[in-house]
Order: sequence, then structure tokens, then C-alpha cells
Amino acid sequence: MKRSGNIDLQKMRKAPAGVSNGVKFSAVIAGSWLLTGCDSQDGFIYRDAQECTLDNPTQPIQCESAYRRALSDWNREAPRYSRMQDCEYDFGYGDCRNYQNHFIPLLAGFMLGEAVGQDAEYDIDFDRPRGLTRSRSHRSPAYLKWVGASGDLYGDYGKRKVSVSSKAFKPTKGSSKVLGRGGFGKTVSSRASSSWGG
Amino acid sequence: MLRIPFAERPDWKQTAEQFGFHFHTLYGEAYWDESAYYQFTLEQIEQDIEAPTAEIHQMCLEVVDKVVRDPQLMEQFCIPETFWDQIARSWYEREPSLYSRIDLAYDGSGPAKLYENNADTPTSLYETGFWQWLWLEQQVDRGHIDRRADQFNSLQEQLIRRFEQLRLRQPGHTLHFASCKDTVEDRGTVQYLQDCAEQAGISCDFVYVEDIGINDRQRFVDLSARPISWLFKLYPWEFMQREDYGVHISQSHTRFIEPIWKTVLSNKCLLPLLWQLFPNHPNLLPAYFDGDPRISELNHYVRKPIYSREGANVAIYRDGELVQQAEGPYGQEGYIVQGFHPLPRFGDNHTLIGSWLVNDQPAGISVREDRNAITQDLSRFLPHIIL
Repeated sequence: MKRSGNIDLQKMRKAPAGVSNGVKFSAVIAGSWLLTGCDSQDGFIYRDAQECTLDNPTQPIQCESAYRRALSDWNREAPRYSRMQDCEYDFGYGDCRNYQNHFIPLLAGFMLGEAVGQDAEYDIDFDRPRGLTRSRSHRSPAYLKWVGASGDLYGDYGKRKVSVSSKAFKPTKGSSKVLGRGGFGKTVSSRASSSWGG
Repeated sequence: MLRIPFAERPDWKQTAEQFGFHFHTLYGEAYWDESAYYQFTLEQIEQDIEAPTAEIHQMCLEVVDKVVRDPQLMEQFCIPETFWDQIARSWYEREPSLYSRIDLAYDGSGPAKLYENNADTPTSLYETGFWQWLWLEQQVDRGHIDRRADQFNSLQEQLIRRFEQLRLRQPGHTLHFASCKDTVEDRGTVQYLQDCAEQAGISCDFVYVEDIGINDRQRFVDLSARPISWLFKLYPWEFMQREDYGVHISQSHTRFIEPIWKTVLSNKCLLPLLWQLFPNHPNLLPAYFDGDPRISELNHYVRKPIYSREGANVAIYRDGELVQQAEGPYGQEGYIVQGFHPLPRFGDNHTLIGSWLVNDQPAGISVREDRNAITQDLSRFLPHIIL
């Protein structure tokens, strides 16, 4: 037989309603992820707790806990891949590991921001570390660059001090903000026929 | 291959309503047309359509493999340079594809000729995979068509099987489906694919192309601000790459169906490259890039924009003279030229075969008719049988 043997007609039935026109959407917030500007601040990047301690000799414990926190956030926020080779394709051979049935890039460092506020105990804010990795795949836009869990770039891998937006230290999960809509579909207005299909 | 006038099912419009087939009539004209059907022999289907479809597809993939490695060809294909790496990478990785449709001119004898490859956003899927299947079921059940009649159409079964494979590669991900607003046909196509994906156990959601947003983590999001990690888009890659959000595609962590390497496969420049790699192949028509001196060897030819859909902007030349032209918005990227091979006529109708593939497996055909020699999106869809 050259045709489908069995189609579940029950599943193919639709309510006899017309076609939905979709939800109206009006409010569009414009903006972009700025790394420098009025609200920029310094970020200090360390590859591990030891490097952090060398720079901050009186705060070894804070460095250690910042690293641990960056690592646990990283495990939760890092891009996930279902196949090792997909991950390695983006980040480089040997630069990924298995984590809870997925594959994620290895944490390659963490970034700390300046402490803000007069009563801050230290110059550096150890409480909001940002996990970073870098790619060793030359195909990646993050090739030899520091990159955050959501794909935000922070300059060359060799850099230890970067200027970043203060937003960079906001937690990512559950707090993402929609910056805009409508960036696809504009060619639509110039088309002549009803469908894009060929 | 015969065209057989036939009685319509008296209740087919109510049936269409029950199953949500809302675009059987478009702009006041019949689109679904069951006042006749086409009849093929099994040999015609298997030898002249199914086997060549698989072979043509493999030849097309060889062209892709050549093009992604060659910056000059990528440029000739008018692919924006910022996407070359990503396209090559998507191809080397064999990012999985879902489906495509190649258009063939075939009159029942001799080799079918490839018109073009709709590899990125083919439509008329629902009519093929489900609706013409249902037509045959009902006509046989009611005793109007011979019980031995078959149809070249395993499309729905194969789509569901393919979605099952894709699900295993994206465990736990929701698959968003997207089409443009104000086109009931595209919405129907996407709804059908969504039904197939759900039957394969994938959790699905829908968003209009125009409603896709970007969040502060560079992720595409739906209307509820949920990140889109996996997206079927019934919207051409060549548009997406040139629009505002094109810059976010590579860093979005979104997996796309069709994959971005289909940018090459759905491009009309594929045709001259095919002729270069497989000259005089029985299923190919001679094709050249615009300006090639060998065009003068063609008495009659068709000029097609590199990016064009539904026959828009296609022009037919006989003995070098323009004889027919279709209107449309395409053409600014340039043209290719293909030897003119008229569609077979059955009565007043010009008939085009759409031959479907799911991944790389031939999966069935659709038959469309037009009064015009250039089939466009308003050409009628007729069912077929094998007997």
C-alpha cells in the first residue's frame, strides 16, 4: 500500500468554529542589551577561586563561595544540549560535560561586579557572581570570548576587567524581559499572494 | 495517467468544516476540486515519480554540500555573508530536516522533469496528507471507487514518524509553530503539522511570526514571554535573514525546522548547479545563471527570480521573445534561466505534480491544475488514485 494505513480521524476533527484571529498585542518595549553607557560598571573576571584570592588576598572565603555560587547558577542556566557533539560544536572539543541527562559547556570563569552603596563591606560584590564560559570553536561567535549563560558576550577571553551594564549582574532565570516584538514578518507587507508556501 | 471527471461527495463541505479545512475556497475560487481525479498506474508512480524523487533529492543534497564549502557560490546564491558559517555548520552537523516538496512536470510517460525544489516552506500539505486521503477512503467506502484503488500518500504517517525521531533529539522541549497572520492557508498548514507533532508525543505551542519577540537574554519568545527553544517556522529563511531579528538568529539557542541549511536547498540557484553537476540527467532541465552564453542555445526558456514562490515573477520566452509573465514582488536578487518544458495539458488544464519528501523519503504526491501555463498559488488541487 502506498498510502497511510491508519489515520486517527478522531484526532483530526476540529471544533466547527472559525479560525482564530490570534491575540492582539500592543505594548512593545524597545531597547537593547547595552554593555556600556550611563549605567556601566566594572566587572572583574576570574577563572577560579584561587585567581580571585590572588586579587583579593583578604577574602579567600568570599572568593570560594562566589565560585560555588557561580557554578551552581551555571548548572541551572547554561545552554543545554541533548547531544555531546552539539555542545562541543558550539564550545569546543572537551569543553562540555554531562549534567542531568543534558550536556552543558564547562564553567570557565566567573565575573564579580563592583559593590554599590556606601555601607558595602567590600569593594567587590561577592554575592552576585556571574558564571562565564568561552568557546574554543572558531565557528562560534563566542570564539575565545567570555560569554554568559544567555549568550551575552563580555570581550576577549584574555581580559580580566571589563566594563558591563549593571544589568549583567541580575539573575537570569525567571526574570527575562521582553525587549521587543515584530522583528520578523516585515517582508509580509510587500508580498503579492496569500501564502509563502511554494 | 488519466484525468477522470467524477461526482463530488455531496457532503464534502460539511466534512471540511468538521475537520477544520477552511481554505478549500480561496478568494471566491475553488481551490479543492473533486469534480475530477487523476489516475496513475503503480509503475508510473514507482518508476517515474517515487524513485526519481529520491534521486533528485540526493542530487540536490550534493549541490548543498558543494555550495556551503564555496564562498563564491554562497555569494552567487545571494546568501548574506553573516550566515555562511552558520549554514555550513548546520549542514556539516546534518541538522535534521522535516519535509520538502519538489515540483515535477510529468504526463504519464517518459522522465518527469524537475521544475524546482520547495524545500523550506512548502504548503498544500494538509490537502495532500490528510484531505485527499479522506476523499479516497470515503469514495471507496461509498462504493464509488474500486476497493483496489490506492494512493501515493504516506505523508501523514511519515510526518508523525519523523516527529517521533525529532522528539528524541529535543527531549522535554516545547515545539513552537509559527506562521504569518492573515493567511488562513498557512495557518491551516501549520495546524496540521502541529497535529502530527502532538500525535508523536511532542508538546506544542503556536505563535504568529509577527508576534515573536526577543528578550534580554537574546532568546526568541512567544506572546507569553516564554522562550522559544525549538521552532517550526512557515516563513522563508531568506526573509528572516534579512529582517530586523536576523542578527539574533545565531545566538538565540533556538533550533529551527526547517534547519538553516535549507537556505541553499530552496534557492533557485540550485537548478543551474544541478545541471552543472549532473548534465543531461533525464529528470533535469538545462539551467544556467542569468547572462550565461549557453542560454542562447535554448530556443525556449523560463526566467525565474532566485528567490520566488508560487510562480511569482516567472517569465516564459519563446525564440528569445517574452510570451508570458507572472506578476510579483521578487527578482531584486537576480534570476536564473531554465529550459522551457511545458506542463502537460489535460483538457484545458496545465497539470503539475508536487512530489513530497519527509526527510529524504518520498512520501506522496499532490496534483495541481491551472488554466495558466505558470501555476500560481490559486491553482486547484485535485485528488489522485493508483489503479
